[in-house]
Amino acid sequence: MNDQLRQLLDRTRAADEPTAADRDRVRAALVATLATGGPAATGTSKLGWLGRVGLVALIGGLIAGGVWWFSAGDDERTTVGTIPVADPDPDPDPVPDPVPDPDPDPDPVPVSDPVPEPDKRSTKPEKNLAEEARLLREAETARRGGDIAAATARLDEHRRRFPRGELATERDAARVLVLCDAGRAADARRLAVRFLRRHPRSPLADRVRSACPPIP
Amino acid sequence: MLAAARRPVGPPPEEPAAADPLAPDLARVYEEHFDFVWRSARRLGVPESAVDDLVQEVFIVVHRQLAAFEGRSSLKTWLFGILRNLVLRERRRFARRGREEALDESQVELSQAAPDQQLADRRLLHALLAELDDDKRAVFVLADLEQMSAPEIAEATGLKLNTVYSRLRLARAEMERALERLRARERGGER
Repeated sequence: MNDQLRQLLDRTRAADEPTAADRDRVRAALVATLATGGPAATGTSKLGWLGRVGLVALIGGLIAGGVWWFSAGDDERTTVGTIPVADPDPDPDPVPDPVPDPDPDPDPVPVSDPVPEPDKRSTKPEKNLAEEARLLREAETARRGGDIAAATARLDEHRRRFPRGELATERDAARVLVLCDAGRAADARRLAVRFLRRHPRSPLADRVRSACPPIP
Repeated sequence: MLAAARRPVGPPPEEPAAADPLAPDLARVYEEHFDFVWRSARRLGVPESAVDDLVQEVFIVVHRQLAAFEGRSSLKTWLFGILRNLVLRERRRFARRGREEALDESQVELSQAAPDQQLADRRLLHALLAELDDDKRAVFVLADLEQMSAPEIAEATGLKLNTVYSRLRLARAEMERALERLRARERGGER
């Protein structure tokens, strides 16, 4: 390798590192996804949707409180050694191929419904996430209690305040469930179709698809 | 009352720690390998606007398959294999979106002072990586940026060991040539 390239690599080896905010944001989304639909395919989670959304709220609450329950972890970039030039080994273990069939790739449209101005009160992402999770948890609590109006109000509030929030996709999925419970199958179905068109590969897609009358 | 009477004297018991919403194994994998998955995703060409979703998807696959992971390969190479499969599946979409983002960035730059050196270096690296085909790109990223050994790279990519060596040689040569071309173009532009 020539010096020019080597120097560039030396300068960029530490580039592309995620920030703590990246780590927290993806983690919160992962928790939310697993909570609202992800585990459907695995059958591993025994939590109900309410409990799962509660977990989202929990993680959000902890973030808001500045508490993170695990250490940031040491940098795991252990140098294993640069590549030797000879000495091939026997065949390596195959990498498992866990990937489902590829979808044709429609570009996802922005996450949520067209909405009015976002809330300007909360500016810190962590606070927003906690607040988002709280609204979704309350919506789910209301839905489970049969209070469709309250559930809808919470989802509307979420949409108004966090139109492109971290949990906007989860909100859209939740709305399908609320509409189903309200007996508005046609509306739920229409929303579900739109959700599936926008998020064809979303881990929540199965949950949405099976929420009401099946979506072909 | 009785229970209270039997309670040992001392400081009040601590509140139970909040449970981690992720299963312990998944949480541990996430903590230990998130950074690796993230930066590998960027270096394999996942555009900035898509990296959150893709990294999340990697860990969803981990969530589903971790129990079946037998440890025949290292967790890190297994993760890279998952990531790479997902990236390959989406590469056309990523390439299109990456071009759009690059265009957006270049438009932003017009109204700014020169971008800082670190950012410029990173963009240069990504531009060079984008010239490699999928295999060479993966091998180069793992060898020269992650500094993995050849057997590990073979595990991560599913390539034979000899193929790893040859891909790496070719990748380095292509990167060098691409960098030369770019520098020459810059020098030409300065004149």
